[in-house]
Amino acid sequence: MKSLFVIFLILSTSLIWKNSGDKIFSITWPEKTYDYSVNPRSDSKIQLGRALFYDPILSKDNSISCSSCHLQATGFTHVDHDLSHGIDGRIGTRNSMALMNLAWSTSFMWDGGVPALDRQTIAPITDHNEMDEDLKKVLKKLNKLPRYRKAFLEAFGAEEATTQNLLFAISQFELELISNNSKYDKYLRGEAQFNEQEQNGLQLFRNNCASCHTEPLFTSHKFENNGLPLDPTLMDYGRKKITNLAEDAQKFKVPTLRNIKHTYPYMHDGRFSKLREVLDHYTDNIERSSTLSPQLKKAIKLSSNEKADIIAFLFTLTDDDFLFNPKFGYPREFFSKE
Amino acid sequence: MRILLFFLVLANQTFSQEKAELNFTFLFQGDSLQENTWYITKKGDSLKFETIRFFVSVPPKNEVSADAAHLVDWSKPETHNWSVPLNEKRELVITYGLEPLYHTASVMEGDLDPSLGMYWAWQSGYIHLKIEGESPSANTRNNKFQYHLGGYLDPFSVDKTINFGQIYESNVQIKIDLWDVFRLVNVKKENEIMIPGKQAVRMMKKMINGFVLLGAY
Repeated sequence: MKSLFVIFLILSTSLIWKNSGDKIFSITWPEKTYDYSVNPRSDSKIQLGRALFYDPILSKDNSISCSSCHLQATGFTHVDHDLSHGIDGRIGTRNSMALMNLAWSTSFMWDGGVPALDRQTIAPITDHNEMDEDLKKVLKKLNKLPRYRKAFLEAFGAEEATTQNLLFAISQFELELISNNSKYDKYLRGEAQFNEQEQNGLQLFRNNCASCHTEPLFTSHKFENNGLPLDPTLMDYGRKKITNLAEDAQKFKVPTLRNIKHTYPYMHDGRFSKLREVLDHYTDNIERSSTLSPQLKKAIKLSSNEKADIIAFLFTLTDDDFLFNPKFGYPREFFSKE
Repeated sequence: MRILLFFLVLANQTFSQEKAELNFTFLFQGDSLQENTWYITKKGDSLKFETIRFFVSVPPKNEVSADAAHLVDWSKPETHNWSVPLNEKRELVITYGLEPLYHTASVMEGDLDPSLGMYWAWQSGYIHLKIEGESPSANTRNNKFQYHLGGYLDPFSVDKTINFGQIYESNVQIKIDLWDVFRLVNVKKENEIMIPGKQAVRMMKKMINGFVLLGAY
């Protein structure tokens, strides 16, 4: 019996060592959650979606496109803007989300109000503070243009744009926005080395942050209250607006941290412009409330050097192949056809 | 032989009818509901109706098909008839509104097209029932009352699925008598419901009383 216990002890210690040491433990990507059976992948849909993503025709006064707030070089988000703005300089209430690895997302927007990627684009197109346009008018505008008639015909077999086909095309482009070639990914695959600081940062990250920012997507897809005090100018209760449940007050979607070096400012309202401020929040300024994430109930303790190490690790999540992939950029060719 | 014949007749009966032809009629105290006409409710509110629209659908099994949902619009008589498949037991099972899968699936064709004004983009759900009009009882801008009843997340989902049992005739008439729809509604107190929640659930329960299957013929 005693020897059994000793064997168990050795086994469990070695397992812990394997996970908490500087060894790489292999991380497999989960299956995509997007259901391609309804909207099968095709290059012509992707190219049409890309054109629509970059075309301000989606907005009421033809001034704002998706890319106005989702810029490729900054991880498809609106860098340096705490709250994003739409037509006529109208200011929204939240920081634009970074767009990447959406094929794995289970809900969309900071409050998860949109349950399917194909339905997401309706929100920015019709929102008063964003594009403020009517879906029917968008279709009318698109159907007048030969280049779109041709593109819809190629993509869906019908010249006439429909709401569903418009949304399916944009989804197809967004589904292509996959970021999986950062230094971190290469490190996991054994193609790159971490320096001591990055390695230490990874370890600290796994011990303190990874239960919500779960690898390899760096999000649990869940909604959490991360202890931010309510901004009295916004009074944004997040998920509660969607579910009408008190238990969801101040919960927001856990965002991915991939390409985080470039996606500032941070948090749903963009209140922090530096990663250091984010980490200081988690160690020093958590506001306790009944809906606070259970993971934050026990204080996170990090020294100044440890914070620097975590930031060094977070910088390894930058994926230049993603940020500068010409396939995701402005489709000059499409717009120069006429 | 006689037994075989019995089964043949039974089988013939079972498979003879797979669909029901629904017809929706809009009434007020039994008379056809008219536009630009003032009506007085049981609670004493004067009302003039402008918009009455609602979804009726077949509960989806695993996937959504655009044909299985239908938007009935008072102002469009061509929408007042809908052919609906019966289930395998020859029962007529329909939902007033749309079960949750309709709100989360990618299918957005036909009456499920979000551009038809029955969709909330910010929380991605269809409005199940929309009733709008004017009433001096409504202390709102231009005395408008607006009920946009929706919500698909528990515990505030407002869809109501009803099994009407086996149907032996194909023509089924459903009357929507606004007298009954408003029987329990106090327009002075509740005249604008535009978001899902407790209030919407309560209002849907009151209003759905006015939707009555008259019978098959």
